[in-house]
Amino acid sequence: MSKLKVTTISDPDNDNAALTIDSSGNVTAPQGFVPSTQLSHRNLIINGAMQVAQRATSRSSIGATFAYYTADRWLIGSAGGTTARYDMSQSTDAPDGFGHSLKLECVNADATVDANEYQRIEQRLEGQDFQQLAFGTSSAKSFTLSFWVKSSVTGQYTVTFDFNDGTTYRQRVAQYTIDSANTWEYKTITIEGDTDTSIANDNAYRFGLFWGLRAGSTYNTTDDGDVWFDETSAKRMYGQNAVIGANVGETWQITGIQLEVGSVATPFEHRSYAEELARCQRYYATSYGGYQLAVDIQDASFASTNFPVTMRADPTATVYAASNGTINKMSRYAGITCTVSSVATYPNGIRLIQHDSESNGQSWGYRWTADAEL
Amino acid sequence: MNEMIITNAQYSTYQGENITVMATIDGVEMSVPLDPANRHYAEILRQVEAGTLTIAEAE
Repeated sequence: MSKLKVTTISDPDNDNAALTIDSSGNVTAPQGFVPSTQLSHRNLIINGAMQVAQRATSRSSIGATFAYYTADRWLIGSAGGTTARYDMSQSTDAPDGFGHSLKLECVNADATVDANEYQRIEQRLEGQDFQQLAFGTSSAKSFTLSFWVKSSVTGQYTVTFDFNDGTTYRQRVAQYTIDSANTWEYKTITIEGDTDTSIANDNAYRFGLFWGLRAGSTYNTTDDGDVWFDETSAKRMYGQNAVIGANVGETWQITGIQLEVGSVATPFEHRSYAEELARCQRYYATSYGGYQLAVDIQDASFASTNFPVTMRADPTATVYAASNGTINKMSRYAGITCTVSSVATYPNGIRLIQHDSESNGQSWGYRWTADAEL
Repeated sequence: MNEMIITNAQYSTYQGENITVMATIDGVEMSVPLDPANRHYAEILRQVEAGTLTIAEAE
């Protein structure tokens, strides 16, 4: 080990000070600084710190299917008929510097992992946001995933990355180990770029990653060789030996998830709640506790709502009465409701129509959710 | 994906044109736009193609 003590580093031609170091060790670049990787907007993951939970902050006994429940953009996927169920929550238990984690706690155990079972936590992302990886070219770039994880179950787990060009579906598996039970651990995984296949440049699900919770022999028995491969079930979660959901009370938590270009995990890029919410609203939005009004004109009310941000695609909408939450209804005072006869959605809003025979000039209240998830 | 449970699928019209599919998806009634980029509509199309779902005409 050697040490170099200097206060200034200059260029050799003109002796311009390139770096200066003060007595406290602070470094300044007087001539400017050109990074080889971007300094901001590095994190390609949305809601990696689990700040946003528009649907709910907790849900009970989930895990039967693929669905979004609590923290935005985070999907639980389940296949093969496992009966393991979890309470999912946006937990306030998190490493220092984070306010939340996504937590699963087993409430119905399934001790035996059948061959065709798996459960996983995943995020799906648009291909147009991943063109910088230059996959499918000789310039394909490596990327690095970092995250904090905590579980009551120690052992080897997997993270699987997948992408596609619309025709070829590629995957890559990485293993990580939880060494100590009930302890936050920081993990980093660097994956080389794939020169074989490109990522389609559109608004569809073209890149994703998922963390295995449990996997049967159909999915975890064939060594993937630590390379990208065309989608193969037996390789998909190779090395997933740990099993979550075998006993009631088992937990698995995650937060601080960052995916960035390059081979180094940089500190987590914290974003404001407002920034993260807007990113999430491209995929899911809701009128929250407020409601909107439609005015009845000649027995036909026409209501429109503009979304807070333009959504990824035409969203699926659920409209419900402001007064009592009845789906596909609007409401007035005293619980009077009318049926919404038509709902049309666009990336920037909803249009509602109802044709009940109410008097002209009545106003109707309604709430809505809009879902353009991948 | 995703093995959604889809029932009661029926077209909804405006001025005689189909604009959405009303359906109950995983227990919730939803209005699904006829956009192949919408995951619910993509799944409806997949189940129709598989012969496990029929979309009723609008009333």
